[in-house]
Amino acid sequence: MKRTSMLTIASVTALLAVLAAEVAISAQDKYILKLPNGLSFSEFRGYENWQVVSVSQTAELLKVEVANPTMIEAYRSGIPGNGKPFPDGSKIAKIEWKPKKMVESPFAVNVPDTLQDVFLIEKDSKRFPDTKGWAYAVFDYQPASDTFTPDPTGTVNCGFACHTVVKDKDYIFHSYQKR
Amino acid sequence: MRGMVSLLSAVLALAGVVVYMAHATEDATGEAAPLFGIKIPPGYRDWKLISVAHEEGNLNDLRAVLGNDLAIKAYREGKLPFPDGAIIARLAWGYVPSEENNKVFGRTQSFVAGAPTNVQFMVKDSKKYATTGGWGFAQFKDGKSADESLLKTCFPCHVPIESRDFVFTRYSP
Repeated sequence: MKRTSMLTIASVTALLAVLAAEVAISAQDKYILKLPNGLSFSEFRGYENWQVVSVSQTAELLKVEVANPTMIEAYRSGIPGNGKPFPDGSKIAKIEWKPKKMVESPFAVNVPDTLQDVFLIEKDSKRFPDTKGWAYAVFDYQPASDTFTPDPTGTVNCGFACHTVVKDKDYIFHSYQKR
Repeated sequence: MRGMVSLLSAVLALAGVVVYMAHATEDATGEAAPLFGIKIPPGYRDWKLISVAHEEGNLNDLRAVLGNDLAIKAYREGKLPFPDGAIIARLAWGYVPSEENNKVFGRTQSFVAGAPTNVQFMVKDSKKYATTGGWGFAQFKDGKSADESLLKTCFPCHVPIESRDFVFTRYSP
């Protein structure tokens, strides 16, 4: 018990140190960004530490989908396969990178090169009743200046039209990949 | 009744684990012993993200590379070598086209994670694994370890990146 609390204190201290270091070296505080009439980046604070839902790739980009603890727990309980919707407070982020070949690897492996953008979705059925509770945002990343900007096409409902294709899965494309 | 069934399943599952472990112990003394004696670390699926990858050669898979807290801390601080106790997990799934996604894009361009293939671990213990750069290597498929001959091929492949403490994966930007 004592050892557990010691470990917890140590972990929290370590985490705080890391956070402090990150704030110190980052010129831009991305979490002050906000879409015009839309979501704030800060509503997704800490997504860098969220757990992995799945991995994907399109012609141009390599992607990972990570979700907050509320949504991960929902996935594990069988949502949306069991017909139940994700609960309010569910948040999911899709981080997209331009890929490059890993030259050192003896295999043909594509790995992230530069960050492209971050897609964000959150559920709040009271706040976003017109889009089945879901709201969408995109923040683009500029490697040269190491800054994010709100994507002009990123409005609260920008992703909703596309996501109606998967309305049977509570409007979420990616399923949780088990191991 | 449902409770009884759950209980029965749990007992059976436990029995299975016990049998499996007994079997593994037997193996450990025989030729089939995994080289580095690594077991699947509990909770690794919940670890934080280091990076992702797409292997487009023979394996053709999508991967997530996760780290335990020690590994993540070392990555974020950019400190090498990794400390003892650091574990890096490489999860892989089949690379499959997504019909749903492609419907939206209007062409076949979206690929998602399919069925799990195998999972690999690198475990840092500079004393125990002194002859392999301080790293132990493991690969499991459906809970079963790869055999010793395969595990022997891990370290030689990692030697060219000794300058990065034998770890290929970089922390994703």
